[in-house]
Amino acid sequence: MNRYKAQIQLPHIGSSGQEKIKAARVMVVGIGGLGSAILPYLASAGIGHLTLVDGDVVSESNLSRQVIYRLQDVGRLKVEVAQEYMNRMNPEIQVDIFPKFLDLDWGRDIIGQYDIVVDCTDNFRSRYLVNDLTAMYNIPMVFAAVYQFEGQVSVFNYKNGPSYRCLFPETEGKNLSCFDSGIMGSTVALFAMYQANEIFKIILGIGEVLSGQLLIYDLLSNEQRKITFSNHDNK
Amino acid sequence: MADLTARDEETISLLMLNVLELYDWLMETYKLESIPFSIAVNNEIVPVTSDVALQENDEIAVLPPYAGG
Repeated sequence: MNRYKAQIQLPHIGSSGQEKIKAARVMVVGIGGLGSAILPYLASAGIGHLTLVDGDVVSESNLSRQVIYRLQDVGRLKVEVAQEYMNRMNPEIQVDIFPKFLDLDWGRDIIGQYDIVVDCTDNFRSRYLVNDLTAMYNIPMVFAAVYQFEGQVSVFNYKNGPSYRCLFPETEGKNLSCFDSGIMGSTVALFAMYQANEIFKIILGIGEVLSGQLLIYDLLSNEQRKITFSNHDNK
Repeated sequence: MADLTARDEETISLLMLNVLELYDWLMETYKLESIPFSIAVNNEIVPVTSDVALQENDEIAVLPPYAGG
């Protein structure tokens, strides 16, 4: 437990909190900008079971912001490289991988095993799928999404709370990827850290979880705003 | 959204009674057909089809979903 001594010293955590972190089962969907930033912090804090889902391979244009990948990883499956990285970082935890994109058929068979699903996807189709699967099993979905220097963070389907569809009912939308619209690695990493923080709050049962609230942060002006929303029929 | 409308914020003075009329005005003024968005009144999301009446000095936020990750 020496590895976790600093966080155990927090009165909010202690040995019992560390046991909760160790027992947690967390699925991360998408190991791109958000996913590769969040994973080292989940692994190093000792989350006992991490499952990584992504069918993509590392490309050179990922390297400016997806900092767990190196030039020699280009062409390799992201989940395999990420699994090796997390195993080196913390051999005490279990890291499982699905080297494919989430879909409804196999997703609904496995998603019920997880305590938390982290939405690190980069397109609306996947995001609505993560939402619908987590809503089906009432599993908290820790969400972030970015556009240039702005980002949104929330937690959906938390204790029967509102879902992504309660916030954005539309499913038809132009899909601008980070690559298309432009992004800095530091921007996407910052929103991944908000996600990590919500994950630990949920596991530990501390603080106020961002359920029914959308945190919006504009990094150019440093203006931050919280928007509230509630359950409605679109769930 | 700021790119599409070329503005971060705007004060409007219109004879709009409810959120649905505001939605229609936004669509017509800024041609927002290509992008979905939600509307918050005083930091609370309201359905865009809502007949919730707007009050003087209400703060309206127009929120598109972001895709990037």
